[in-house]
Amino acid sequence: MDTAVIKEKASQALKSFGLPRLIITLFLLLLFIIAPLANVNIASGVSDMLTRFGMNSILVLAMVPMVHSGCGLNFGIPLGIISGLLGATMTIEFGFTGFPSFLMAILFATPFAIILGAGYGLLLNKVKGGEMMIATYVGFSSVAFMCIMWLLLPYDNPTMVWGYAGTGLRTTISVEGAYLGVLDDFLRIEIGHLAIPTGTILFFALLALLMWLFLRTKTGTAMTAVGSNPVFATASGVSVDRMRTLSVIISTWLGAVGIIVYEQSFGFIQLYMGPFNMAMPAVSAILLGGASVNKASIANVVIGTLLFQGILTMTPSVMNGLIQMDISEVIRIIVSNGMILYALTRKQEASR
Amino acid sequence: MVLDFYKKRSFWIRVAVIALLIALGVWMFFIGKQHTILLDNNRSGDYRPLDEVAVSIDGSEPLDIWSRMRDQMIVTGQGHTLTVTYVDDNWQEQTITRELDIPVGEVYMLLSLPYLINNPDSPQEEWLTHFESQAVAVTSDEGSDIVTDETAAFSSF
Amino acid sequence: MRGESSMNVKKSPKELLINNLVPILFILICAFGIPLSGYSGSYLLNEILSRLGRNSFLVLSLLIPVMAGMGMNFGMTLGAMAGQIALILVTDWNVVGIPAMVLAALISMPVSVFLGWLCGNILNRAKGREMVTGYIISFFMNGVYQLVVLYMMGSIIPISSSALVLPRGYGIRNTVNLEGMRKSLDNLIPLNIFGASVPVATFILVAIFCLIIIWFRRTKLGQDMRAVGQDMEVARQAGIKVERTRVLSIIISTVFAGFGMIIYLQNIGTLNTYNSHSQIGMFSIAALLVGGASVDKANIRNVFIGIILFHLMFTIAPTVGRNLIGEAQLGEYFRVFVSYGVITLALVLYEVRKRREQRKALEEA
Repeated sequence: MDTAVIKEKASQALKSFGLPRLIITLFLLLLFIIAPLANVNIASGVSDMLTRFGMNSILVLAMVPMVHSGCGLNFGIPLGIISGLLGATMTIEFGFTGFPSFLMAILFATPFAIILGAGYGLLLNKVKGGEMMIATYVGFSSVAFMCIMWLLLPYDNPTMVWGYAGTGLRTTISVEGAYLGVLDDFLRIEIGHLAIPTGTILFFALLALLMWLFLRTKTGTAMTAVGSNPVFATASGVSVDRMRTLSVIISTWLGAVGIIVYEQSFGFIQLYMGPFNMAMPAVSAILLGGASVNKASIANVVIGTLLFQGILTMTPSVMNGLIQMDISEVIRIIVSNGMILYALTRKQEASR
Repeated sequence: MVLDFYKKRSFWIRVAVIALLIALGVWMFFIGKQHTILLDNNRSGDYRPLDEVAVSIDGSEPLDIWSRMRDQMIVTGQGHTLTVTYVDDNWQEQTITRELDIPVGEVYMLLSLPYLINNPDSPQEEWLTHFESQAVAVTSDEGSDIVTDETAAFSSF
Repeated sequence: MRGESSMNVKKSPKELLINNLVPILFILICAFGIPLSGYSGSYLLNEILSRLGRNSFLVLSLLIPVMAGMGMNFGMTLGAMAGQIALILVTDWNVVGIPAMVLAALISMPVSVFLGWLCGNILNRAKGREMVTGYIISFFMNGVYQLVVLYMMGSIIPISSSALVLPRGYGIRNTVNLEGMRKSLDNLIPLNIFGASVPVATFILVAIFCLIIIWFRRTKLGQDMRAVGQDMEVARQAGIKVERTRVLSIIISTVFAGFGMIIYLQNIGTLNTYNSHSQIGMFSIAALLVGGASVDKANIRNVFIGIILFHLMFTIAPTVGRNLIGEAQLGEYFRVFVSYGVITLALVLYEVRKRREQRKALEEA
């Protein structure tokens, strides 16, 4: 009897935690345990993980509003990233430096994010039920469209344009002298090998807190209602389409902010095909954190990003140290897409 | 009962089709495999090299091989007709035509022309032997950097 | 049958325009671009014939899942991977010419069947979002493909040729030279018209495939697929094994995609080990949609119109970009944008139409 109950409970716990997530958590733990054997310093491993957590967490956070409003996973995050890139290039074009350049980048990006997000939201309202596929392709087409634009837009700051032609933005642009490390170096903690980018993490915490508060406001709860029960939401006088559009705008804006934060840590603005593959890691990170196609929380964001980035940073160094074979890229592809596949095929979502 | 009979028949049809496909694959392997024949005009045992030999396989353009030289011909499949033309000690032009049958597992085969010309009717194994190719060390790193980026495919399409 | 019945209904010009928006847009792009590109007619003819030859098989392989209501099979990439693995093996074994192609096709078959079976079963667990799932499967399998080709070939799977294996001793090089079978099918029956070479043998194979598809529609399985495509529940009540039928449609598509990839690569002559397959699904789907197909309706005519229009655009875009703005790169980005844009537009139009039809059905009920 007792063993049956325990078994039942264990299987239920496993089900709610999800087998893939369990495997990946155990895998990450294993990596940390065997790291010393591979001559990998755990402290620097943790530092790398935290740095990359700071870089990516806001992009992952951007998934939350759209999941809440029932638009599914935002595979169209490249659209937000493009707004961010516009802001980033404009702040450099106009010659801002230091912390103001970071703020100005966000400020410049905001109108683009709102306009693009609104258009994208209106489009998604017309295709309810097929959002994710269309989102993917909206993202791709906008990246390809911007490839044309990066060549044509009248930027002329010599640090950004191709030297010989004098026009057309470069593929990668350094943010040194602008907002490189403005968050990472704010209140930075360094103890031996351990370095914590406090500012970035605080900035994420601030946005996460705002998101958490927003989801508890009247608008926020209405948004969640739209996602979980659109019929009920309409009956209680909430405009489904407006809520969805709002969620898409917020998501797009967070994508814009996310990429700027990413750049201040990474050091470069990546244009052209750069934003192309940015959606998958963000989507799989939040799923790894326990979110599903129609449910996501801040905790999912934090746990997921830590796990995902942990795997990404630890695998190459440990694998290299142990077997001189770097299969981290393959692991990244399999883990991230496997996670998305798992979320798409879960039974309880099959009805949606 | 009827169903069972049906099932059995379709099962056997499937087995037959799969066997047929495998047989087709094996056949394709045999007729499509490339072999390199090294045509050797060097001393072989007691037989000294000839001044000049013209070799043609399956009616190809004859290849002239001078004394103590070696050249190669690439052939596809197993059965081939070898035609060797040379000038004998009496200044008479001689032609030897032989059928070749290259074992499928072989990549390189060494064909000793002096031996063949002196023993035109000897069995194939005596003048056509396995040759272990020295693995060519590829020193250039060209093509060793792996591009796995999906977007890289755009330009190549 | 949906397509045929709706064809009988008289349509307003506006509806006709919207339904054929994508092909019309493309005709306009091409009509505008061809004079600007400055290419001669015989060059374009040659280019289109060669592209028609190498892409038709791939695009045709998409038709069967559409019949079964599973939308565009983004998982066709799996077949392409199977074809590439077979080509690597065949190249390593030194097999050349037509036998090499047949052998590669035979080797790719079991791999494709297995991958297709896997893909079909996963898609059965994600009904209603087959396309996005298929798309992710292709990414996921790309990881597995890399694991096999980059790490297992040469170490676990024996590869002897040093021209294929990386200097480190395992893994396949970035490019595999398919010199031994280059254009062996295209040039099997040589024919030239107006200075353009026609890949006759390839076209014969494509024609056979078309006939197979037409025949397949009439078989029991084909009928079942169309029933499943129209309404899964009705089909189930009629005693059709819905899941099995759907899996079969994906398996067939994957196997033919594998063959298609082999035909495609024999024309190109080199295999880019790690990215030849990655965009093939996207380009094939874009071509089919350009031909006027939609997610739930696609026929053989769409395939050929689509390939001609899409590849005409693809051929002229870089030169038009250079002549117009002075930058060939611009044209290349433009064609990438158009490829993605077309898919986006077609998907949006399909979803909008589906929703309109649903609403209409609700109002009538």
